[in-house]
Amino acid sequence: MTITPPILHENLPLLEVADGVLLDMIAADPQARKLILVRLSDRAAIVTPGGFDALLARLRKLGHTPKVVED
Amino acid sequence: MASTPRRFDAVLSRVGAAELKSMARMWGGGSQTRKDQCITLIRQGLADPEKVRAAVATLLPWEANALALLKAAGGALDGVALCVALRATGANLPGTRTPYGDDRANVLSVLIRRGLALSASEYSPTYMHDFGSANVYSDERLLAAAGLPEITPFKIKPIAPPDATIQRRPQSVALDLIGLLQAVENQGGIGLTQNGAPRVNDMRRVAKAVGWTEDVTQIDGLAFPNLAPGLIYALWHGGILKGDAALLNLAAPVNAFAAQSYAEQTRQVFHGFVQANEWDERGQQAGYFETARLIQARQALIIALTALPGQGASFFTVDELERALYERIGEHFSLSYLSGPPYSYGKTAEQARQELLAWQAKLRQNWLGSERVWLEHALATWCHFLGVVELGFRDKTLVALRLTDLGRAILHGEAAPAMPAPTAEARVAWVVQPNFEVVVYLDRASPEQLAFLERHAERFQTQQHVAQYRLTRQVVYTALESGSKLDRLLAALAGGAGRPLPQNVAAELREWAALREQVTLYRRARLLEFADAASRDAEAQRLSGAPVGDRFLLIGARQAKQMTGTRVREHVNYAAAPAKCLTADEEGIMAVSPRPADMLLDAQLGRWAEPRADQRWQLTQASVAAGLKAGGTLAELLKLLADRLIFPLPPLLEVALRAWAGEPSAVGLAGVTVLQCAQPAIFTAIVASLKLRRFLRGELAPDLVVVDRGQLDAFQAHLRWAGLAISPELTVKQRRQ
Repeated sequence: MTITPPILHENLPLLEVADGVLLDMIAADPQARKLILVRLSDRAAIVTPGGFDALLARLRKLGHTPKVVED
Repeated sequence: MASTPRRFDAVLSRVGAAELKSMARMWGGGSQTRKDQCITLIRQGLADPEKVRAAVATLLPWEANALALLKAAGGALDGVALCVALRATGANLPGTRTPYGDDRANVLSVLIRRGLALSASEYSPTYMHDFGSANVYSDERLLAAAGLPEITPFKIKPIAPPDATIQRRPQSVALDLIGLLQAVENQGGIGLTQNGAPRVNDMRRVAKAVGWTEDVTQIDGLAFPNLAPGLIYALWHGGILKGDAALLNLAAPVNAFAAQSYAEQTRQVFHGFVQANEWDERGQQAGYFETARLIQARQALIIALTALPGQGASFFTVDELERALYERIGEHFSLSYLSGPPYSYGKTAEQARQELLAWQAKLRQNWLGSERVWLEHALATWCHFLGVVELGFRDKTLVALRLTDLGRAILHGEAAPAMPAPTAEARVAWVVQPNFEVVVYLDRASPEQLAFLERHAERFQTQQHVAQYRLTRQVVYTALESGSKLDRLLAALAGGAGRPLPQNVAAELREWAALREQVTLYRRARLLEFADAASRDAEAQRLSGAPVGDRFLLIGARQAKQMTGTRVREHVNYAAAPAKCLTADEEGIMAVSPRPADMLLDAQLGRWAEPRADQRWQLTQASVAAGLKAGGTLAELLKLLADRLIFPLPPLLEVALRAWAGEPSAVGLAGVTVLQCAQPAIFTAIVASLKLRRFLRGELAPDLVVVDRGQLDAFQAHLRWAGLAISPELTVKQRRQ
């Protein structure tokens, strides 16, 4: 099988959750929803450029304890 | 802010010939030695440790003390503070205070001529101001050979221990210091202003984190004004915090600080307080001249404490300490203006004696009203807070003091009895209760254990022998976020308790750690986007990445590095500026060309515009209103367009966007009758005419005036009377694009 080479996306702010319901819950919050730009799957979404820290703060405010992977 | 080691070599060429000859004497120079030879001799002498040792051994006691005090201060010290400190040691100094000069002339100029110190002024290394604050420093190689200051003990007698005394235990001191450092670390440092001062709000946040929220904090019932800022400045001056261009942060991790002995921990902060002239024990804002005087006073105080007989192990009255200090420095130091002794010229011996006595009486009176009050504040604030002194009270009035074991270790170093060294190894020091509270027995806890708890639990109460912490989800989360591991947390908690943790506590801690794994935020994720799921799955194992959705693979930095050349179809770096790929017209129609590989564009446009056919979008009043309603701002929209548009945004579209976003704008539109005249003289004659004024409504341009339409016939009649031909046509110009 010939595989078309993939596109490499680097330095992309990304949100990933263990369960799709969690992402639905997060997206139900208007302030958090504004900071989520593209939903890649039921468990992953691209964060708005420049919105990473605001989303982190918002998630903590909402009671989540997100694990932050800096690099 | 701790001073860096300095050497004389670089500034010797800026020292005058006369001073250089004097400085070179210590290294074999004489009155006939040329300037360049003097410089060579001094440099060679300082470069030879044997010669330095030999030279320092020949110093007079007060000169050796000056070096020792500079060494203790880190190499540099305010010039007057050095003189005051020397006086406080009881050293026999050259010269006395006269109406014509003080110790700056008597002492500092001698030290400079002897080659032991220089002014910190880079361009005038031998010049000392007659006023204000100016640092002096010594060469690090001289300081290396200097010993400890020789301090003549005061001739005062010990008293019986007072009934009521208070002192802080080293463990409590360590707890507060470690707690504050942990708060600074948790906050990611303290921002510095453009002037280099710590940001007030950041210091407030740190203060709040450790529970020192009031302007005046009560420590064992003693008022400590501005505790957090004072301590932050002391930590900075003590070298425990370090500042760069914009941030004040820990010079070393909290654990490294905690691993030191209690005496070493406190010594740095104690000497940091001496230099912290931004803070005043009395709670007032230190004035310009007072900043240097505070350092001078504190230098004198630490020497006075060191001069307590018997290493200060017994109690002494504050009255006697204060009196003894006054006798050494009272005529040479004041926190405010210090008047000089009276002139004796032209006076009889008796007159001169009477005036001198009156001057001395006035000095003493001023001292009791100012320096004595400050001394009590200093003892009751940082000296007590750092556990250096035990204070005795009578009717709530401070009457006596002695040095604690910690105080003797700090002030007398190796000459003091050894303090029990804290044990680094884990030992039973606390009880973990099922309600998540941890009761810590301070006597048993090592500094590392205290640092561990400050990092992983929330302290809510501290008493003389016991501190109480609470394990909370938030603190545990913060600790895990900053690199702690759950296994180590559980093991250390159980190790400190000497028994397994209560089951509910262990289970809950595991639950908190697991919750953290539920939501992950990648600041700089690397994703491979495949054409379809089958392609992705075929590569997933080889690249050891984590599948995301149907077509994506989350990979690490190492794998991303391998994805070069033909291995990838395209490479999108989201840290770089986004691809410019849009054109927009005045109708708000935006066309995408060329289509970028980034995954943001459609979603970004979809927030503000309506999709049209053929990769086109359109900004409409409704779509912009929807974008704003969803929480977007006009600034975000304009930035998106600026980032993505290949050509500038059409101005009319920008006007429309701003109006749609609610920015007020208005234009006037009405049918009017105008008179146009291309000849300035005729135009001026018409608009300036008293007869015609009633027909005119105002000028639109240098050749255009609005006419009252209701009187048009009458106006025309006047123009004809003036012989003017009236044309129905206007000359208009098209604006050039």
